[in-house]
Amino acid sequence: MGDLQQIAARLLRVALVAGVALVGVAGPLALAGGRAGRWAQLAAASGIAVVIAAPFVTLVAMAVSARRSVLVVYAGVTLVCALAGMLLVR
Amino acid sequence: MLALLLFGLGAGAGGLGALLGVGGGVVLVPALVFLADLPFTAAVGTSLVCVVATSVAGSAVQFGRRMVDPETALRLQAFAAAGAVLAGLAAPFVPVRLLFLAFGVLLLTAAWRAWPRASTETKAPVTAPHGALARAAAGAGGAIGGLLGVGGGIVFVPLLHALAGLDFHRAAATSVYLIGLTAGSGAVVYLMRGDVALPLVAPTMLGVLVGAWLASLGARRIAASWLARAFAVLLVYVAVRMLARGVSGG
Repeated sequence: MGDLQQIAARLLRVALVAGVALVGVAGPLALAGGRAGRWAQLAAASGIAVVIAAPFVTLVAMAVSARRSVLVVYAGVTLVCALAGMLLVR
Repeated sequence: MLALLLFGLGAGAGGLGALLGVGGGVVLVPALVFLADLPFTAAVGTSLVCVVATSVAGSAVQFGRRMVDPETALRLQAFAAAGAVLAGLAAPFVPVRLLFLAFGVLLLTAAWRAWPRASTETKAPVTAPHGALARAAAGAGGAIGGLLGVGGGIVFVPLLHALAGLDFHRAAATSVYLIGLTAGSGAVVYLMRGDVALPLVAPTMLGVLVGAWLASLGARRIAASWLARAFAVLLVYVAVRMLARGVSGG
């Protein structure tokens, strides 16, 4: 399981840096109106999306890297639960 | 001014959350209700997004230190995510007064959990790490997270420590990762329903990311016992305010 930890650490670090950069830079700019403000809002929302998606991407990466079908099934059930929640609300 | 306040609040909540294996929602939800004057459901949704940030920043460091148990996390997570989604869907139908009272009780429990104990050595597992009891507890942790805007770490840490037999530091580290998935599952439900105050997310999340990352880096150097005592006192104070609001009718 050692390599899984390094894979997860790398993915989460990338998400952390991207999240801080996007939300940190675009967040304050989003308060300004106009076209630039709208682009900044989009960038800040992208940063939030990256952060929310990161644990799920990590989960799938670990399950696939482990090459054990039972772990892939558990990861799949977790993703289905999250997606089901979104679809049921819509 | 509110943005700066939320940044500082997020940094504190993220730091404490990452240190104690919880998401920081127990601080964020009351703060968003009392300081930003958000409705309870919007505070829960906003908090869940920020709890994911605590998890990402904290577990990025903890995975690098090999403190997270990936197999236990993978096996228990499906049940926690299911609990979070079901609770998120049920939340609009639960009376707000009941949510305030439940949150108050949760905070008192968290305060009791946070108070440092003399002994934190590894316990022998009292049941199979991935047995029915552990799965049920993971589902309950997820449901508490989805309903009350916390990550469920208040349940996960004792679950991983007592039921799965992980030592306290590994239990807290694994819990930090688990709460990201649980809170993320619940957060998408609130996001789709429009129950997230997006303008408040950016400063709070930024504070959470920075606070959780710094706290995780410095976790070994900080006298956690004093931090935990201060945290417990804060939780009791907020719990009393939440319970008072629940009793007075929300």
